[in-house]
Amino acid sequence: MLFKRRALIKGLGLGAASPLLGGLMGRIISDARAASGPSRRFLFLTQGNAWSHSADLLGSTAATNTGKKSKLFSARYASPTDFDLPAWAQSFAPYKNDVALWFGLYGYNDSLTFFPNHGMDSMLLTANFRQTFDEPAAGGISIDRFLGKRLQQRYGDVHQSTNMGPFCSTYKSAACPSYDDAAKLAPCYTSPVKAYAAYFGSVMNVSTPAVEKTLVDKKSLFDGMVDDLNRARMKLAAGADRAKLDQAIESLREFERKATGLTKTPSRLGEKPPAPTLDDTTMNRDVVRALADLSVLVQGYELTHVSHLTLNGFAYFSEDPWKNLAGPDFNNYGEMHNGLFHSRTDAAVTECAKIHKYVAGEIAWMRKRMDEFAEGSGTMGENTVMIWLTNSGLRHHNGFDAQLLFMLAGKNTRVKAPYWPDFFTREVPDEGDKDFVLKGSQHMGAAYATLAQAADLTDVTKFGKGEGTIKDVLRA
Amino acid sequence: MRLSMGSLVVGPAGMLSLVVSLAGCSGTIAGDTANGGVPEQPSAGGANGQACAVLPQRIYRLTPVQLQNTFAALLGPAAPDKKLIQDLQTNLPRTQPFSNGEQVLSNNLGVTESLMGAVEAAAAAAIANPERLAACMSKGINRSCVGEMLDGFGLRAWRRPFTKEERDIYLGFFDSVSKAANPQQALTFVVQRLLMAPDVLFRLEIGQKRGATFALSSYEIASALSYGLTDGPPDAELLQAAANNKLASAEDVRKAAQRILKSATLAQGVQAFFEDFVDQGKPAANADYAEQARRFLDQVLWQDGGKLSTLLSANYTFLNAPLAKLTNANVSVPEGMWMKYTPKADADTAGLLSLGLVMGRHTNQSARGRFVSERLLCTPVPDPPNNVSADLDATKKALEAMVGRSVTTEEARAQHVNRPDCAFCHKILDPLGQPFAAYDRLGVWRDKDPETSKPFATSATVDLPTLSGEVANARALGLKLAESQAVRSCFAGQVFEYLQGRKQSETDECHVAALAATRAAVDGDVLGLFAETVASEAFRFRAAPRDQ
Repeated sequence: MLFKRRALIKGLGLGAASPLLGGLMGRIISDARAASGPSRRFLFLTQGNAWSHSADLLGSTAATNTGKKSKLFSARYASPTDFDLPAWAQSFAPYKNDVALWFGLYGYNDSLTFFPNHGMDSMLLTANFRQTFDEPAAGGISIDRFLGKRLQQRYGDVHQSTNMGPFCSTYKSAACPSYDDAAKLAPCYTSPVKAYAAYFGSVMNVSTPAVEKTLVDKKSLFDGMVDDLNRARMKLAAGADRAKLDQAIESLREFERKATGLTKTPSRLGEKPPAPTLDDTTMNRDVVRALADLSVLVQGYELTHVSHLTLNGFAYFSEDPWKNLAGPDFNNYGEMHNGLFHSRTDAAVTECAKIHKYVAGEIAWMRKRMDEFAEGSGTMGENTVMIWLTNSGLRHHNGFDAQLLFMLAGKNTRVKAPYWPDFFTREVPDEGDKDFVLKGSQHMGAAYATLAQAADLTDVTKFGKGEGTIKDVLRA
Repeated sequence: MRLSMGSLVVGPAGMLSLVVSLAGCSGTIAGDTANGGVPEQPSAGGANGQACAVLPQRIYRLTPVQLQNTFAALLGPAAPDKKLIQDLQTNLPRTQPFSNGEQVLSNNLGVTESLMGAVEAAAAAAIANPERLAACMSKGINRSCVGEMLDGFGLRAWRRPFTKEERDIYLGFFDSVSKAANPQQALTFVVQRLLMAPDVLFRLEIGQKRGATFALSSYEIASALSYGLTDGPPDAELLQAAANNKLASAEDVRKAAQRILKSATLAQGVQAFFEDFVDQGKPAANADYAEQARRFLDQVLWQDGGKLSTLLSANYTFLNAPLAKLTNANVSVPEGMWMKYTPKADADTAGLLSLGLVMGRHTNQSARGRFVSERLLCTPVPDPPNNVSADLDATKKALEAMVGRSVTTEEARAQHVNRPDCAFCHKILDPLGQPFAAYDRLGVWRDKDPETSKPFATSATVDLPTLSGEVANARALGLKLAESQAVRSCFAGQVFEYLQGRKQSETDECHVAALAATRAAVDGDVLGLFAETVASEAFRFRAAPRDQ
């Protein structure tokens, strides 16, 4: 069956705002439109701290559209392939405009190699917190910087930043020409302004006679700056260094064009929202929640049928409850290959359980935010199936059949959940990889098959090597 | 792999071979001879008397920190917008130590936005206090006063006087904007333009024609010298020397450098070099380690003679109260204070190498060996192959299953040497890291191995083409490194890279070899090596452009 294309619904009754986006959400309330029917929405949050998304979902980081098998699902890219969708979601291709697939990754670098080059034209952004805070030099981005700059440009706020990471909005764009580029980052959008405008519309409606005059004056300033650069350029022989000045000139012109163009774009969000209070050196859960808010916001705006947002749920970026962990032990929570996640010791189990409980808490909070959007006869939360998979613990590297699963399904979905896992428990001591079991774990393929069934894709009964749908979680 | 004197080459069969022309070490010691004359052209500057190729003309982008220091020097410490400087650091990533990342000098939109923001903020600070721009501003903003500003503030901002043409252009710009805006707005635009000019954001190394080559002008040398050694713009004394053409000869430059290098306060560039040297960009295991290292360097370089041997083998460190507690030091340090401290672990104390910043950043013997190999011997070590687990716990468990008993971490680590796929690198790395075995992953010294209750084994046999022999402990290793010609060459190369702001190229090898042969380098005189480097021909001459 086909669902109706979901409507743009802006809910009433939004509760307490997050430090960053609460104000924007407030604007959405005031900008609310009438509901035309409930959406069907599926949100995946996966914690990919071991297996490689690119290798396991695509087959390899250099996967091409040649029918190469994915290790995980045996999914095959074959013509016609829908390049908007990852391998596991190919079966959804006919329905992609009618079903919201909302795929999130938890704090893993690989998201940067997989999604940007995967060409999801509806991907919102890749905000990888590990790169943002741990390795800003590697080109990470942060949403508070992204929005902060936007607000600064609009309102002269002090939150100024421009650091944007990889965005890729269109398959076969210049930056993302093919799957062959899967290992490359694709900075399709180099500025928050472009990215924000692409998805939210501009809020740069400051065009007044005074502003126009300033722009004319500014034009002479830009011209003067370019003249200065040109004079320096003439002193240099042709070569790399002169090319650098050429680049400087071009980027200055681009800046000028942007400044001019954006001021003439109509406002969509209206009056000034409260200033963000986040400090980009503050690594606390507010940051994680701001990302969650943005993700919810995107869905509320119906900006995408597939949005991807990296949320980092690791304790690494949280103030609590791991304050007492010092030095490398604490920092290593953010590492890609963390011994804790093998869960071979009691101490590791204890710490992993802390992390999982923290993440679960954040997901529950996100669900609460979704419930603050009225949608159809219910709420966004009630129309959404949320699934969180983490491969921490048993068979960390290849345990596709032992994913710790957490489901929060709304009453308007076909899933009966909430389906809560227990955290790690010791089963048999000292048997290597079988030291611990995960209650509530499932094969990833089973989770996807369940999702398909919940979407009434009745011909999709199995994904990859999974056993089929998860038992007893679907409504009749 | 970089080639330099004493460098290693990994051959096809994986064998290390030394590719050194030691004859190259016997050339003239450039720092010995005072030469007050102005060289018309570069001399035969190579270590063995051959002429080194003159380096090409270039522009050098200021690092974000240098830009911040520039704005602070011009307009006061509050003028640079620190948030925007942070943005710049994010937008202009440094991909490797000893480089300002100029290879990624992509002036993309993000960079330009950050620069524009920083310049706008600095200009706003200037306009708020226009007397900083020129004393005459207190009486009103007019064309004449703007001209005065260009001659004073403009000279300091551009690190050289405006030419008449440039002066006319800027005054014309002020006139033009003044017609449509008030004088203050026009001045704001002039200051913004002035600060956004390439003469502020870049250092241009073009030079003036001298025979077949170009000699950098005194002002260009003043900037190169100042940004290299102080991480900031030339001070008044340096600009005056440039105005008097007192930076034309190697001896002039050496003297100017020595003035700066005498002062730990001025020579912030040297501290910045060592921040790269110890991989400052990586997270530290303890927030106080960076300050500890800074104080240690201050002591070695400006109090205790500044020798490389002291740097690598000093038996003291610095502690504040938290570090004293962390390291179980038997000393009481008042809160908020630091004190020089000689640990009990005398033999395991090897100056900079055993500081918490290094030990806590390179957390096991192999990583520490890699640090020594790469940073002191300039011998890069590849990452482990993808199919090799770096998980020592897993190795330990597998070994226990194999031998049927519990094994120590050291025994598990020793497996590396015996595995064919690991052995090649670990036979290089582990002896260089073993002397630091007593330091835990937080960089804290321990008297006994908690697994065996015995003192740590710290002796090792180093068997490399560039370094060989028995070392009993970390101190002995530090001393051996300090005596090594390979280490001195490597160190000279890194100072060269830092001051050039880029990685070495093949063309540079000759220049680096010459530096390694200077008296300062041979004597292990760290600050002297900095002075020799900025006085060298690689810093004072540029080749004629190919299309001229």
